[in-house]
Amino acid sequence: MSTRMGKSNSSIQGGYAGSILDIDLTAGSIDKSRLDPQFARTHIGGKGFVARLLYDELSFDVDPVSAENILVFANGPLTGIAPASGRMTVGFRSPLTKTHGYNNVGGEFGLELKMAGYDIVIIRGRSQRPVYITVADDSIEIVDAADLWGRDTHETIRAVRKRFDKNAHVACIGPAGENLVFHSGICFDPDRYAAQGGSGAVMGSKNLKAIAVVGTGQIGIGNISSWAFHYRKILEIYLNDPTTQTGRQIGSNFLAEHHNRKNALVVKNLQFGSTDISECNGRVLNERYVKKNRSGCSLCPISCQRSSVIRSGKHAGTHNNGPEYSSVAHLGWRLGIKNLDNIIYNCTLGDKLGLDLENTPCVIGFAMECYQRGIITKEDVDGYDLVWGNEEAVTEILRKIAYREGIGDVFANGILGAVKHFGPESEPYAMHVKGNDLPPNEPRSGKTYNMRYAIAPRGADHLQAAGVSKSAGSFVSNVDDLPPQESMKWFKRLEQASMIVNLLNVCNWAYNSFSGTFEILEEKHQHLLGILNTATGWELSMDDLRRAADRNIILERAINAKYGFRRKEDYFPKRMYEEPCLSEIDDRMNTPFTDFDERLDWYYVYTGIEKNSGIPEPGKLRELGLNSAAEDMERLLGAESP
Amino acid sequence: MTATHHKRLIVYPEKCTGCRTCETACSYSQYGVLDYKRSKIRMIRNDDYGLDIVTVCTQCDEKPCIDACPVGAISPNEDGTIRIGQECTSCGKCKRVCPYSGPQPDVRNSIYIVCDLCGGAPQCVEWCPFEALDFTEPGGTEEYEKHRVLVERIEKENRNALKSSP
Repeated sequence: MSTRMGKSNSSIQGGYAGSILDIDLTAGSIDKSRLDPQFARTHIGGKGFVARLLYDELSFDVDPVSAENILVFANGPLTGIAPASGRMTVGFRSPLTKTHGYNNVGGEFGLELKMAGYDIVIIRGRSQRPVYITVADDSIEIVDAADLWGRDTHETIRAVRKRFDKNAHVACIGPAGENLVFHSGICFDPDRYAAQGGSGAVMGSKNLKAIAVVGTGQIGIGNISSWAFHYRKILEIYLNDPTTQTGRQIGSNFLAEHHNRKNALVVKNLQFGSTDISECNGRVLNERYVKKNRSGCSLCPISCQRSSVIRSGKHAGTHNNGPEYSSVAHLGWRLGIKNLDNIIYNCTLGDKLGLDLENTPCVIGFAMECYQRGIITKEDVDGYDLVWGNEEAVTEILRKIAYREGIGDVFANGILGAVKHFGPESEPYAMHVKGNDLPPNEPRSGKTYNMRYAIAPRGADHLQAAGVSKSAGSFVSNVDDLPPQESMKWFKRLEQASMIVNLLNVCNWAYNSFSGTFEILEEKHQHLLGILNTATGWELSMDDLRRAADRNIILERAINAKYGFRRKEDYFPKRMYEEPCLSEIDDRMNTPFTDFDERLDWYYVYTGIEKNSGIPEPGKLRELGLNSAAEDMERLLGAESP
Repeated sequence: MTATHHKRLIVYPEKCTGCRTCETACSYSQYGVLDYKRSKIRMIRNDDYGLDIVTVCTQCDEKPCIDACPVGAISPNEDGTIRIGQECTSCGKCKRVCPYSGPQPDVRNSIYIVCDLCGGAPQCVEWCPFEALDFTEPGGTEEYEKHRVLVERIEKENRNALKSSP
């Protein structure tokens, strides 16, 4: 089977693979259906496909780790046909936050899946025994995985390749996912993670150890010479933008110094915004650990990933395909650790265990602050002396979390589980929104930009609205000086730009964050639209794409509303409103949020959300063609009105 | 065989990121479609050590592929490239003896395919965003050696990884 987009489907000439794979692990059934062109045009792909499917299929009270939850893997139309398109979206209801769950993961799995002929894979039900799924073009199998259960992610990927196909791309879970740890992720081809929200636990609850794919098909393109024009224009834009070099040379770790300057690091559970990072920053990492800088997700002209090795000491020889900025931040400064040996070792350990290193270290950081303040003692945490920087304890606790042993069983239920266990006194030190830990850009350092953490459907989420790197400092602070009514317009533009790339399923970093200016970002987006139209044969405008982004932003809110999330859940922890963020080394500080409510009000106004409840407005949903959601929201609003 | 006088493809291992833009360019140039699994230049990777590099025919002098072919399907061209005839049985010996793993399996036609330099203007070189590929006058011995060593290392590590797996 070669070209997936034949003449049988005149509404889409190419770009998409054309099929949906629907696997029910309870029944052991495998269904294939064609991608509906109207569905594709309305929801575009990636996050759009995920949101629509989950909105339609999941009930308001679905238990995230039950057979009733579904796990969706979705490509976008541009996967494999645009620069920096090695991304894939994973959707589910989150065990960690109970909100709408979505992950964005890099690598090559998406491209391979497209070559196998599928835009979407839906996993339902629960297998009685551990299994893995193999996809080789049209041939799909559900295979016994009893002897792989318990194995770490790296071993699992190698074993599946040996049994199925040595060139397969594999997504799998480690012990953490098997043990339903609320902050476990799905590991793709070692060291790339679909994470935040517990996708690993969802997969584990289905007794699904891995999914492996090989594909041999062509990817159809409507007008190949016009496609090539837009493709090469995007490459040219990257090569002319100096920001590309930052991405190449230092990758995400450029943020260490950038955020430290802005007093925006998350030091010691967000008690401080900056610290001495002279021994722990991107340059030191490059000099002492990195053996190859630059490795890429498929088709990336930046290739921000690097691979490192610990060269000496007790962890000598430990390899890591990273570490990325957020792992360094959470395993490092957040816990008062500055020893890169330990950070890299823990990063590799977490990767193997199947832990999400965005969330997992944060709950340890929370416990460390409770310990500092005397709210908990050694006896509460298996005898560990949880002082800042206790590297050994962190390594042991990571392992305990993955296996739900001792205190690890408490931490495995996420920050909300830990607060419940330690009691209400601990609550003020839980740095999260909706149960998702605050990412490593201290919220008070950017009052407009960081509204993304309060607003994002999956809880504190750095991907909700991407910044523009080079100008980020001045851009964000200038915007902060504007009245909320104006500054939140800017926020909406950033949010929309992020959603556009997440629908097309190209890289948010490459297209947005690693753009020198907003103009460069918009120029890239124009050519992405060019690729979409030349591939599909559509004639969408930039406004159509923006409308699709707006549609999905509000649809994700509607999913959360269905699950019971309201305005009161769109707030930061109290510390953000009551205390400034100090520096650990000098007298810099970021003031607390003072006009948060006003900003939130304007966000609701611009998005089409009813202000008091936080429920999407039915009128706005109808305007965007979401009629069934409009009816549901009418019912919710009716039930809430006095 | 006399020393090379023709231009050759050269890969700079330190610049290549394994991004596969060259595969896109190759498929587009050769077939006018996006068909990665029929590209004549392909990325190989070892995840365990974070290694990646492209494999492609570099128009070497020695051409061990010619003698290795059990059915005599391979013959040299004037410009340093080789051609693989329809007699090819897809046994893969040519790829195994090639220091750069140059010949590639064509997944749909049970035949091996090989770089023809796009008729003198290799598009992988044109498109590569990292200047990791070039089409140049003879020379660059050291780079060819680095390329060869890396290809060999990745293939060896990948074999070992499978061997030691359950």
